[in-house]
Amino acid sequence: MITLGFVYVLAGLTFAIFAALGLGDRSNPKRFGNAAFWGLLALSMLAGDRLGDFGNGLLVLALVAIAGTGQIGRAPGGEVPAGVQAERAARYGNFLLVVALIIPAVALAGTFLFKWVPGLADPKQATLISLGIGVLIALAVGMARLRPSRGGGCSTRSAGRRSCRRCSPASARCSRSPESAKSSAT
Amino acid sequence: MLVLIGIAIIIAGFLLRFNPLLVIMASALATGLAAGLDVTAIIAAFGKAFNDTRYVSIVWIVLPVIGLLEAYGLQQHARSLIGRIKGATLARLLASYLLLRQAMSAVGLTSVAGHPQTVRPLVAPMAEAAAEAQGVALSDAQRDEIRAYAAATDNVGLFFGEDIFLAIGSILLMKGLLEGYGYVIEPLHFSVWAIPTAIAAFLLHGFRLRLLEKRMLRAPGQGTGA
Repeated sequence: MITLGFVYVLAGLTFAIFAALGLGDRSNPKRFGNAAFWGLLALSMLAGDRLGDFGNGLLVLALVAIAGTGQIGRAPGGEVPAGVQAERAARYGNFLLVVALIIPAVALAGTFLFKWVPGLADPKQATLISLGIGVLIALAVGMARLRPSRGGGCSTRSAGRRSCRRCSPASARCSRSPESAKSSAT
Repeated sequence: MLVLIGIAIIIAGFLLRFNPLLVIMASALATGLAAGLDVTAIIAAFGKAFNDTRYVSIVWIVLPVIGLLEAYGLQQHARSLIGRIKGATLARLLASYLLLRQAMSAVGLTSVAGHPQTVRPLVAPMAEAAAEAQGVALSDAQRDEIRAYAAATDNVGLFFGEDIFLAIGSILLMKGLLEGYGYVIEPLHFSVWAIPTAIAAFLLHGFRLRLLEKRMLRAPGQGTGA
């Protein structure tokens, strides 16, 4: 049976990758802050239940110190140029929309499925588990069709920047983390 | 009374526009100290609360998908889609999203939509495009305002929808608290009486969205609109 524990592991590994990629991005002056924030969050996801209350408390203080003093951020100019995005949007348009909608659709379908069919997944956590599954499906479908490669996916980006590694998942990630952190906290 | 100092810190901190995260942390610390807890106990309380609710951060696993799609022009596509729908106005679009979000939350589907997975990649660019289709040449500040309203619409929809759903923590909290005062109330009653509040929230926020739209259309140098 799939439990929330599986999703914590998935999230922990994802955040650990964020941390490693963030650390490797030498063009970003805030790379150490990014790596520390996502690394601590990965630790919380993977080992939160073994850290103890006080350990978790120190982890929270560290997260607040990193985010609250503005140590998280993306490198300047990391976005795909608007012209390239428009060109790709014209080409892939509705496919992008379908992939984006896979996530809520799977979350919705899974929630009902796991409640009706017992034994597949923890029914109390059906939506979060389905969300995780939806993300994996959407990522697989998106990568299979779009095939962002290190060179190809971002070939038009300005010279000298470490290209695709940051261009696909990381650019959105870095630009959004502080805002997301705040909105989730409220 | 001293334990209420946390509230004063929150008000002062927000008025002075300090970083909200730091303000809340300072307020919680001050409250704990005023209540006579020692620092270790306060940190442990933070840790326990954070660890018990860390599932709220799971949603960030969608970021690689959203980043991939945005690099390939998802926001542009969402914009051009709205530009082609006749009658899609800023207020109508956001009010529809509000209704959808409230309805989904009311049946317990709170994690289906949200800021990372729906607002930023879809709703915000669509709202901007709807305003542009109404003839508004958006300034950067207006763009920011529309994005903020898109995010706020999600908050309102979630907040005033989820209380209708029975099995939500806030209902259990209210039930427990009232029971402590001798009022035994069925959770179903909380759900039922959350409905008028939800309707009021929809009407009020819908009205605010109309005001936003009017303000955008009336801004100096704007077109006549739709």
